[in-house]
Parts: sequence; C-alpha cells; structure tokens
Amino acid sequence: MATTEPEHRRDENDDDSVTAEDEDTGAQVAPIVKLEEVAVTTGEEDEDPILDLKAKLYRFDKEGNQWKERGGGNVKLLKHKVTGKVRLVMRQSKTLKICANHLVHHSLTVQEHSGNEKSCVWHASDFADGELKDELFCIRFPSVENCKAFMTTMQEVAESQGEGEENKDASATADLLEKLTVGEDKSDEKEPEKVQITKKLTVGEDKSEDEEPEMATNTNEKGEQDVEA
Amino acid sequence: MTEVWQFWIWAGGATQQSGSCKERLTRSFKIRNLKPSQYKPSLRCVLSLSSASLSILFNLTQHRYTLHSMALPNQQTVDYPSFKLVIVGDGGTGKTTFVKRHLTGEFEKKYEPTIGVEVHPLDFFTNCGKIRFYCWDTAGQEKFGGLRDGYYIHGQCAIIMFDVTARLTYKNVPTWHRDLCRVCENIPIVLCGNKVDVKNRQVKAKQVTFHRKKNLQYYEISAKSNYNFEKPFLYLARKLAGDPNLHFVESPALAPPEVQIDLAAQQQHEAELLAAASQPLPDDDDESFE
Repeated sequence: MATTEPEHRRDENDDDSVTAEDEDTGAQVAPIVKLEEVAVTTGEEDEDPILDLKAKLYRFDKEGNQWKERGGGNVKLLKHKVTGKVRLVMRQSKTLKICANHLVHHSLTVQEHSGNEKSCVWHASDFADGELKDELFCIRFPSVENCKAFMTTMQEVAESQGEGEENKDASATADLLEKLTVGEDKSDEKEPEKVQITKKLTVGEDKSEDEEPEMATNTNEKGEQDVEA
Repeated sequence: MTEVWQFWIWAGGATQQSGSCKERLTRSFKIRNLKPSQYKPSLRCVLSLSSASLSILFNLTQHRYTLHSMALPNQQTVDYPSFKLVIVGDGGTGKTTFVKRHLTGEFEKKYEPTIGVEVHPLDFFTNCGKIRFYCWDTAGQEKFGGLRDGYYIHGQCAIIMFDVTARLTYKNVPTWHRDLCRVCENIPIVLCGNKVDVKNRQVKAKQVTFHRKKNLQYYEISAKSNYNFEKPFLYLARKLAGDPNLHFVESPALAPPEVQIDLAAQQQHEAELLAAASQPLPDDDDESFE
C-alpha cells in the first residue's frame, strides 16, 4: 500500500535538509483569543462499534455526473446500546470532521461498484452537515476482503433492522387492539367523569359572565379619564 | 451549506462618466451572488453582509468608484471564535483547490482562476472548542486581482502558497509577503509549498529558505494526496490561541433523525444508483489511504 508521503521524502539519494515536521520557526505573535479546554463529546458515547475500517468515501455529483471525494478515514458502523439502531459514521482523518452520518435502514441495499471489486455503492439520507440530504455514496477500501466484509455487515444490519421494525409494528398493532377492547369495557365507568367535566365548563362560563360587567365599568372609567385628560 | 461571496472590479469601467450613477456603479464592479436590489447606488453607501462578517464601502471620489472591503474585527457572526484568514500566492498554485479540499473533501482537477476573492467559512473542532476561519481565497493572477491588498484589511492570519513544481511561484513569495505585511502587521503566517505529490519537482526542500529569514512557519503540502493538509490550520489556530497543545478533536456526530421511506423515491434512488455505479472513481489508480 503506497504512502501519501511526497516523493522527495522517500528518495534516499535526495540530500535535502527537511525541517522537522512540527518545528516552530519561532515567530513571536501575540495570541488574540484566550481559549479554555472543554469536555469533548463525540456523540458516540452510547454506541458500540460493529465495524471499523480504513476507507475513502465519495459522493455522487448529479450535476457533473461524476463521483467526488468526500474524505478519507475510518468508517464505522455503530449500534446504540439502548435502541439497537445502527448508523454509519465516517470521519476525515487528521481533521476528524464528519464525512458521513446516516442510519442503516432495512431498505438500504449495498451494490458493487462496477469495474472495482474494492468499492461499493449505496443510497442514504445523510446527516453529516446537520441536515438530512439524499446522497449516493461510494466507498473504496484498500483490499477486496475489507470491501466484502463491509458489504456483508451492512446487508446483515439492514436485514436485522427490518426484523426489528416488523416486530415493532406487530407490537404496536397489538397494543392498539388491546386499548380498543379495554376502552369498550370501561366506557360505562368513564361516563360520569365526562358529565362532571361538562358541568365544570358551564360553571366556568357563568363566572366569566359575572366578571364581564366589571370589565365594562373599568373601560367606562378609563374612557372618562381620557376625556378629562 | 457553503457560503461564497465574490467581488471584483471591471478595469476601465470605473472611470466612465456617461450614464446614471447606478449604471456607472454596475459597470465599475460586478458583485456575484448579490441581486441589484441588495446594493443601493448612492454617493456613499455601505452594504453589510453579516453572514460573511463583511462590509463593503462604496466611495465616489472625482468620478471614480473605489471599493474598500474589510472583515469587521468585532462583528462576530457566530458564537464561537472566528478569524479572518487571507490566502495569497501566484495563480495556479492551488489556493482554491486547497480550500475546496477542506470544505467539501473533493479534489478539483479543473483550473478556474479566482476572480477578486472568494470568502469561505471553515470550521474546526478543537480541544478548546469550535473555531472558524473565514478564508479569503484571493486571486493570484494579476489581471483578476480586483482590490489586491484591499482584501488583506483586518486579516488576522495568512497562508502564502507556492507551487514546488514551478520555480517562479517561489520567487514571487517575497512580494506576496511584503504586500501582506504592509497591511497586516505581526500576524501568524504559514508558507506552503504545494503539489509535493508531483515527481518532477522544481523547488527542492533545501532551496526553501525564505521562511527562516522572516520567521514564517513552512509546510510542504499536497492538496491532492492530503499530505500535511491540516497542518497550516492547526499551526494558525495554536498561534491565535497562544496554546501550543491545541489539537483537533472529533466533531460531535449527532443522531440522525428517522426518515420515512417513500417507495417511489426509493425506486428512483435505486435507478440513480445503478447509473452512478457505472461511473469511474476520480482516483481509481491511487492506492493511498489516509
């Protein structure tokens, strides 16, 4: 696997004296802000990684009809400890900015990218920039094995999410049915309450009628004062 | 969403005295991405673009319009620290490509010269909180220079870029540095030698000495391979905050909201995906992984 280091640094014959990578040349500049260290939250604290692989991500530009690089780094599939929901999160290496952040739905399908066994494509509603946006993604791995592992895991997760949603739907329907039958049994008991509420409302209406004349007199008084002024 | 503003002056147009004030003003300079209704031609009028922390002042002096552009130093448009970063250097050295790489992640192969200036907000997450650089990506080509050093006003940090595959771009670094320092005194500056991924290198590392004389930080970078691409911003952030231990941290990955899947839309996406899958990747031959 080739490194991203530039040519001149790998050339043994090159006698260039290269400055140490982070060597500060000693520029004396007065700082213009005072920043305090803050607690760092990744947003992944309640999730467990199912998959973590090095890759390069691309998004499809429909206008230019071409793939455009989105970032290179580690792609992760994260499963929530409580809800069991799985999402894909990828960050750009070094800057650690988010390249992709989307839920893995039961309808998600991952396809091979034609002409390249190391890459695959899928569609998702991405939330990387804090707003949902439909994206066509392509991801490329250093090896065919990694690509296959990614595709398999994604497909398995999507299917498991589908089962989960079916179970949810079934239980939700069951709950509704139960509520309906319970509602029929208890309808007689609840009727008196309804009557009471209606009475309260009418009492309230009477009160408001009593108060109205007072308000009218106030208005009159104010009106007289205005005239005097 | 990426916000972009562009300004430039039409050569010759400014001195024409025929026509109304409005016509002369419109001929003098084009303002991209602003409707004519958004600027009011008058003897002296101010237009504020708060979202770019930017204000433009039009002056009419002896039948000539001049445009002064400045980032207002105290006008914070975000509730976290922001800095005006000026990026200068010869045309074609990779300034816009470098900024675009940070903004969207893409590597733009096509060369389109910048006209005047483009301003892009660029956010980074650090162990000391979120910070923003307003990147003033200036034109390198003289004919598209626009305000030239007028763009440097209130600059708080800078990047001077040259191309290691073109000697002349390094020879011009002292001129860019001089013009910058005339306007911005004692600001942190990074000198970047771009395109170090190219085999046929013209400016060798040992030949780059200008930064030592002027106390600039020097980084060899490649917008193409992402080599050292984060270093200029990290150095500037450390200098501006006075914290040598400042570093980038993971930006919070917010939980995405649930999406209702529409069957018709899904079928459309699948069709689009099928078409996209047949398109080649931009750097399929490149085996490097960051």
